Amino acid sequence: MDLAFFIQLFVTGVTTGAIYAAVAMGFVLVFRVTGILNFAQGELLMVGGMLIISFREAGWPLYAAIPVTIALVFLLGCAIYALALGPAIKRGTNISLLLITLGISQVLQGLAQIGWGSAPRYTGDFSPTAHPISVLSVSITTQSIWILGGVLVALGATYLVLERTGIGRALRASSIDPMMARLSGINVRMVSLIAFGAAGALAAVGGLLLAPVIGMTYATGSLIGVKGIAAAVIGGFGSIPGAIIGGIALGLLESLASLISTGLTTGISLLAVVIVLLILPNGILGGRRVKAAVGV
Amino acid sequence: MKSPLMTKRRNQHFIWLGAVVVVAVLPLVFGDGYSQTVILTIGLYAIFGIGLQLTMGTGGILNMGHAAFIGIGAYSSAIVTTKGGNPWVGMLVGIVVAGVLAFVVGLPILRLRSLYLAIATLCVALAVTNVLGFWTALTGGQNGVTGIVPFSIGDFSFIDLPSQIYLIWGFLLVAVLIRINLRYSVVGREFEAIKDSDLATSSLGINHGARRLQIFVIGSVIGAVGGSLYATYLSAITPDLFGFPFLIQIFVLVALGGMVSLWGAPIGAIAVVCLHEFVIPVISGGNAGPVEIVIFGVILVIVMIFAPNGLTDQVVSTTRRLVKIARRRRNHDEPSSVTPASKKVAA
Repeated sequence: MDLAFFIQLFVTGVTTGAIYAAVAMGFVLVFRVTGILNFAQGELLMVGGMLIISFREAGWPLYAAIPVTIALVFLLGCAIYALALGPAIKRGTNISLLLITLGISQVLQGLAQIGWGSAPRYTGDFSPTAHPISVLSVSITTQSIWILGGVLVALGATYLVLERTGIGRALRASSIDPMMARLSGINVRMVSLIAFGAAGALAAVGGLLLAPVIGMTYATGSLIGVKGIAAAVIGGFGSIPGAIIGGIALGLLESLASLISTGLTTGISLLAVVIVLLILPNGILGGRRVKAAVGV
Repeated sequence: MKSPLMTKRRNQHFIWLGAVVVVAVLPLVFGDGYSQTVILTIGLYAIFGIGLQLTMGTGGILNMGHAAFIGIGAYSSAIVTTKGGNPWVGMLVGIVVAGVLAFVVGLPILRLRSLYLAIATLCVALAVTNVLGFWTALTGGQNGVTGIVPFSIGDFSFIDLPSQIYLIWGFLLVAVLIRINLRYSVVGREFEAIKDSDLATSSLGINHGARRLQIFVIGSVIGAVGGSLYATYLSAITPDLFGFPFLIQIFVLVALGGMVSLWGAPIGAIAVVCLHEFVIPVISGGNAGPVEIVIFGVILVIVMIFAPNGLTDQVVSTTRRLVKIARRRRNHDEPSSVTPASKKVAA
């Protein structure tokens, strides 16, 4: 139990947390704009991972496989909104909209199991090395550098789009007040569509970076999706910096929980989320005051 | 002068009595083992469905942890009976554990909106299945528990299928009775009001948070009772039984049966069990697992798009509206034939 051991735990935690942060960011984006909690987010991550494995098996180079995967999952996210949630949002209740996203997640899981089989699928590291890089007796795999860098680029790109482009301004305006946004000539349905697509793209980034680390199965997505929700909750649902901090915090928590029992990491971290909900309903960034989330 | 609600309530009780007769006759009509298994499964699913209907339809809470509460009931029975305890004690333990857990998890609802509770229940659900799968010393881990003792009264033990059907459908009828009484009581009407507006009901002095918490606990306890019956029927359980696919089945059940309809849970149970037993094996032709997940997912999505309150409720309300339109049109055509007096007689 020396310092290096804890730094090792820290690195593992931050790497896992980065993936959670990407997924949580997608949740928050969709939730802010549409008021929907998209349970299919984790499945979009799984589809992203599965696609990149297939492309690499087909012999595509990384610089072709990565953009195509992200683009395809972006379109899938748009399709989910256009085909299922868009038509339902007018008459739907909170419960019915959540159940729709739950149904979609099941459909994606089932189709993935039919299409890609039930066995875990593997792919090699993006830049394979014989040994992990060792810094001050802490070993870091090249893939975890890929993960940290990739998530950082994705989050940075999202930030730039949100802050510096017209679409980003429309997204932010719709998240603050959909009615006013519509009155000022913003096509809120189009903006919602883009939010779903962007959430899909973020999930895809998480999925394709994660694919070499774990064996992807059709069921991988649902657990990571829940972790993403948990991360968003820890950060205070609806806040974008909160989602990133929440993701990293959850990753660290899990890597600490693995000291107690490796099998129970999920249970421990999820119970922690319930406790956060009980004590700090607005997350670690929010105050203790209960604020009604918009559209809930 | 009787209020319409009173008459309706009495009618519901007549229907309930009729249901008792039907249940008593059913196992005699369908003698073979397979049909009886199907009938028994329908009864179990209807109990699960009623628990979820209460929390989702009546309480307006999206309960993602219902399968976990059923699992708690099942595992309580399993652990108590395999350690030599009485099955009824096992059921009681399940009720207490599920009730206390539901209470603790439901506490935030006193302060939070339903979305957060959905997340909290989801976390608890996954945590429970995780614990069931890895606390090997108590739960047997992934291998589960075997040799669960069936219920018994005195020397009579509910082992053969017809007696188990009577036991399970007996519990189902009690659950339906609880539901009818909840619907047509003061508390039931409070729930109707809470669903329409939190603000208006709190200004009338109804503590909607406390009421929602109560219904959440009641629904979870009904789920736990169902789980306990499920475990004693199967006599061997594993954590996988109470995972996500099972939860989706119950969601589909409620989606088809309607969120608030009193007889929706049995109707939904019949639909889901028939789909599972008869339709899906034909469509999938062997590879049932993923095909079933896709079909149930598609049903859930389509029903929730076109009937957000569930299929049965949608059919009932649409029919009612059509009847009203038809009646108004007829009255409009021949206003002289229906006098206020004759209307009263007809009513």
